[in-house]
Amino acid sequence: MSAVHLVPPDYKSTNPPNTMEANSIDWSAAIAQPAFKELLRLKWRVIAPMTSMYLVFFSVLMLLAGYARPLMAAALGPLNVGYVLIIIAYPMCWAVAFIYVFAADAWFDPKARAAARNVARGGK
Amino acid sequence: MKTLGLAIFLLILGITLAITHWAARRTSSASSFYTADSSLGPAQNGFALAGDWMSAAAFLGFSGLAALYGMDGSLYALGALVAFLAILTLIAEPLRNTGRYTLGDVIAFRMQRPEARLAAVVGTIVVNFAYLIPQMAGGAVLIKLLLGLPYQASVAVVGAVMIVYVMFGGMLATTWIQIVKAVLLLGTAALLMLLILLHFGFNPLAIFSAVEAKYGAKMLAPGNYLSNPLDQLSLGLSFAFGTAGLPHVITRFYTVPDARTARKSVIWLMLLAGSVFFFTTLIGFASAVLVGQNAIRAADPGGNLALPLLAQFLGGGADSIGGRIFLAFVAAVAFATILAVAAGLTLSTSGAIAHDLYVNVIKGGNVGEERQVKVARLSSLAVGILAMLLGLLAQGLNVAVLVILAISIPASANFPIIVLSLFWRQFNTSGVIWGMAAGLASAITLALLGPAIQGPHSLFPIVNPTIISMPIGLVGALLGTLLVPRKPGDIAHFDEVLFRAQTGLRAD
Repeated sequence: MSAVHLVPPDYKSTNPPNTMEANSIDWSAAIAQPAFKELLRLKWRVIAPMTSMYLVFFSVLMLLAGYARPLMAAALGPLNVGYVLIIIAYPMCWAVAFIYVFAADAWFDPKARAAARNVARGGK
Repeated sequence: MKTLGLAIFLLILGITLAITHWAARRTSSASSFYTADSSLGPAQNGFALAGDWMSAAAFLGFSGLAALYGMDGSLYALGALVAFLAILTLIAEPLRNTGRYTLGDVIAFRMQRPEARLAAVVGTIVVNFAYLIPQMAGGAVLIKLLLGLPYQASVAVVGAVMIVYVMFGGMLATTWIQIVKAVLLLGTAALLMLLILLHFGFNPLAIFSAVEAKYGAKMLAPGNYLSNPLDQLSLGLSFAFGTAGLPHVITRFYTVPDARTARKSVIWLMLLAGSVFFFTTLIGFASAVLVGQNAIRAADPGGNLALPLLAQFLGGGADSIGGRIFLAFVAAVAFATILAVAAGLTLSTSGAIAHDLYVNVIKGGNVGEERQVKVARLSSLAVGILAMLLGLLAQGLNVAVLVILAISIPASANFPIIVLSLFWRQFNTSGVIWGMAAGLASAITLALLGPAIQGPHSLFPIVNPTIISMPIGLVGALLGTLLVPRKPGDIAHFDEVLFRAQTGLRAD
């Protein structure tokens, strides 16, 4: 289901999303509603650990590449420590991306739609 | 041999011009010019993003770096992939939900002040030109080596053709041209990998062993290119966050109808471009082993010809028909790549000038649809001509510093501003201006004081300034917000931006 639209789809403005129509909406109330707060909390609980994990992994990799060069060059079979880490990094990045998209499709979107619908209906 | 390459290139050119003609008939509104009416599907947009991101600098540069310097080249390639995780999880959807065509739209929506939009315009134009000029200059050098065209002729051809793409075809043309180019590039990479694996008995590990045998274990170690230990981290930061601030990447979130499609297109991109970047290491190593580092350096000291030379070798060698055809094909694809990326950058810059500067800042939004498109087309002409002139001027100059700036300015200036606008309630217009100024000034100054310009005994020890300039940009944004007296309406739109960004409730 596509995003809820506040104004008719044929409305064209040269400005960024025109907030004149939107001034009828109480935005402070919109973000205070429980459905929205729940959405933010959920996003934080999913995205924060995911982000910390890959940022830490990547930063550690870069720090090792800078400050622990002999370690990175230490042989591991035909490869070395560094290349094993780099090779692991690729499927890790793809996995994080897939997990995020799954979480967003399955968990975030329904909550976002619910929150948006409340606001569009004129409710608080 | 070189005429074969030119012939293949002309064929590709013909296809892309046909695409432009097809697109031109569908591009009459501002929305279609800038964002192809937001009608792209996830795979299409994913391929186009991959085309944008897999520039010649990427696939030739990364494989060249790997061939000559080993692991540092692989780290560049990995950085380019990690970049999109930040975009996927933090930036893509909020931007899609709060803007229309450009980065300026998002910042202006949040701040509702023309100065804020102007800051975004400055960030867009500086970054795009920093990206565009090395494409023109580096590309012309490459084309001279591969196809025999003199430098000026290459710049003129790239300039003229990209103007045609953008002026007549807008985003629809540039998108499909990127898709065609991405398919060609992926095909080339796949074919190269197949031939490499055939050569090494389908054992990729054997490639590593071969490199080690020929050049020693040091080749597989980090630090051969980025000798200062902070440089690897700084490079990682630039890619991880700078990509999220690249205006021509940001625009590609508006070419899809909603956030859901935007996130799926990033998945496509990560799989496509990620795989190619992964292969660049193997391609570079195979080139180092089979063609030899001396030959690679002799052809181009920066290593940019490692991949084409390998293609020639695997095709049968310099004197064989197979070798010549393969080399000619790779050269033509490289030329097409430069063209496509340059067109995308030109479109993005013309968006900043026509839509942000003229329509919104100067005319306050009161411009009719037809006139908007006319101004957009004119500004793409102007940008293209300027890019050509600068490309001609840059002949023989060291453009390496521009490449560095093209990724560290977005990391230091654009990215902090975007994130703060989306997530920090107190952030205001002064914060935008100070942040942009601080990020820009520090990135440019430090890059100019660094080894890329000054050589080994530079004042500033690391090549990539991001590790210092990004914090400076952030601090600038913070100080601008906290020190300048608050005006009414500064934070009035935060709630709306937050709600729309996170839920997708849109007004357009």
